[in-house]
Amino acid sequence: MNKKIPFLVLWVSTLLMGCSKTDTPTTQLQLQWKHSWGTAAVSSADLNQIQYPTAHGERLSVERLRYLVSQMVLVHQDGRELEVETPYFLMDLSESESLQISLGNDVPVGDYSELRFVFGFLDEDNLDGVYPDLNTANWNVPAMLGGGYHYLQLDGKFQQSDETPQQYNYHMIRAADRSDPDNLILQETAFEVVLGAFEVSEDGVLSIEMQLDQWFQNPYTWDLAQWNTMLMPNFDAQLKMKENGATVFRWYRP
Amino acid sequence: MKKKLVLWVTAAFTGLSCSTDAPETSEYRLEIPEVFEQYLIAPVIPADNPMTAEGIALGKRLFFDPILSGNQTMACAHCHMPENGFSERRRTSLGIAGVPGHRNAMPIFNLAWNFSDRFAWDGKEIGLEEQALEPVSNPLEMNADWEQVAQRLANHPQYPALFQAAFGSAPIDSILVVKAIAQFERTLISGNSKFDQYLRGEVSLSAPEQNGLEVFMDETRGDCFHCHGSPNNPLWTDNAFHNNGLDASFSDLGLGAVSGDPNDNGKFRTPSLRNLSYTAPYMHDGRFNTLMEVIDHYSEGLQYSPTIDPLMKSVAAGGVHLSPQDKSDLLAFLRTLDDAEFQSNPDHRPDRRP
Repeated sequence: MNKKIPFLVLWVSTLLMGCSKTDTPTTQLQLQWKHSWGTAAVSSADLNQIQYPTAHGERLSVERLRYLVSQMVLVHQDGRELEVETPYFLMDLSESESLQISLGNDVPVGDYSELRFVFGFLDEDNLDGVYPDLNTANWNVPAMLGGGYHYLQLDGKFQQSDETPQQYNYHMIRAADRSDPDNLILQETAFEVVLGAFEVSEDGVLSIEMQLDQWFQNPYTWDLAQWNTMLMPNFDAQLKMKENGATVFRWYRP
Repeated sequence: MKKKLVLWVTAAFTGLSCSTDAPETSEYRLEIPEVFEQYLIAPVIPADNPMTAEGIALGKRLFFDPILSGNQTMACAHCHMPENGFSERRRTSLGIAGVPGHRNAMPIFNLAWNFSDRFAWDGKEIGLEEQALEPVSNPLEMNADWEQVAQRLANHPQYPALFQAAFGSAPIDSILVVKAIAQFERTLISGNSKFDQYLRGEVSLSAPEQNGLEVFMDETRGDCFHCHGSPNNPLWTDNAFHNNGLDASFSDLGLGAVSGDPNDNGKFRTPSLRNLSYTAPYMHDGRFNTLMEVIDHYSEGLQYSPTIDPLMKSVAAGGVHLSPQDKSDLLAFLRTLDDAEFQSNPDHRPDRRP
């Protein structure tokens, strides 16, 4: 996705809107997305190698990793909230440009109490077909599953021993129960991620780490032999993905 | 929906420019199909090759003119025939020496919406202008020397004036030729199929077509949408590269030969599913003569190889094993993506010359 949207930061708090803050240094704040499996870094150079051990005992490859976050907010230590104007970001491990996003051009330097965002889209934002850049990126969910967009696309192959590798498609969407296709039951699976205190320094770079192994083990130990492909229409699998997503993100500490 | 060409006369602007070389051109704005406008981001028009009526007219003439080939017997349109969705019926095309190449000619339409900007089956060409350079000099295709081609055009009784009108007094060279051809190619827009009309609320789908759409979108049946788009991505391609399980080993490495990365071996660009009725045979090597052969491949014919795409999830079973009814309905749905208006558009045929 080459299309870039200009970034701005909105001060949500009105307390200080009218005050002159010209003496507060600001920075162009960049956010980098890092990826790991256990203690090993995962990058586009590692795609396709069946090498990552799961808690359940398989080894897997990461051949495609894309995910979406939305509603990103920075909370200053003094309580002010900075809402990133860009409503969502689509990250793609194979496109390095997508892994460094701008959170704003005039972000005050200083101490912040938290950064939070939604992994995926809350229902209010998960509107079918309304985001041209995501449509162009082929990020849609079929109408028969409630429409809207994917939250996560993690594809690869896995092996339990030396047999021919099998495919897996760990795709996370809003859970849809199609037991009765005429009465689809939808359940939100997007979740809020809250990362604790951090500092915005003048160099203006933050880094978040996605721990890929967590998708397969915490708290639910994922059995790829049971759940590997066709997970989009699997209501129970979607709920387990949401559970496991809770521990996936943390601040990156090199 | 009748596509119209919208011309914006900018002669005053260009005429008043400081450069005496600047031609008085008419800016050309694509009329974007309604469903593209609604669902997709804007097409790619390079800043250094803005579209003009004069550039498009020149590009169209060049596209259909064998003057670009080494022995002046073959035009771009010899392999990219308008009546075949700008592809051709042969499995692989013959060059000017009568020797076949090793790839099927890709259809040409909606190329301005290829946001990856990688063209050809293997993605070796970056940018539409760049893409047009290679076939002219390829020994297996038009086998021409670009300097000789440029000289030929410069000595032609009509081309110098056409280049002057499109690009000013710059010397005719390969760069101007491919810029003009790319401008013409960007006008080849297919966006008025039965399914587009369905999306616009103008027609209904038949029961088989509707079920075929469901097969296409159902992850437990066809699961075609992960690579081939959806009603919300009416390009009907992701323009990305996949190994779709054609072979267990490769005689053609595809993207892997371009990137040098063995993980890319056997990957080829996803073609659009528009106009399939006109663009047989199918796949990068034209191995399938019919659409049902293609469906059978995904249903029962998948071959495992280390780089097979994870989305080819049923490879262990040979494919997704569609029922005969689902296969037939999927075919019916795919035919709703045919755009007869595009196929018969007189603007896509060579002009009569005086």
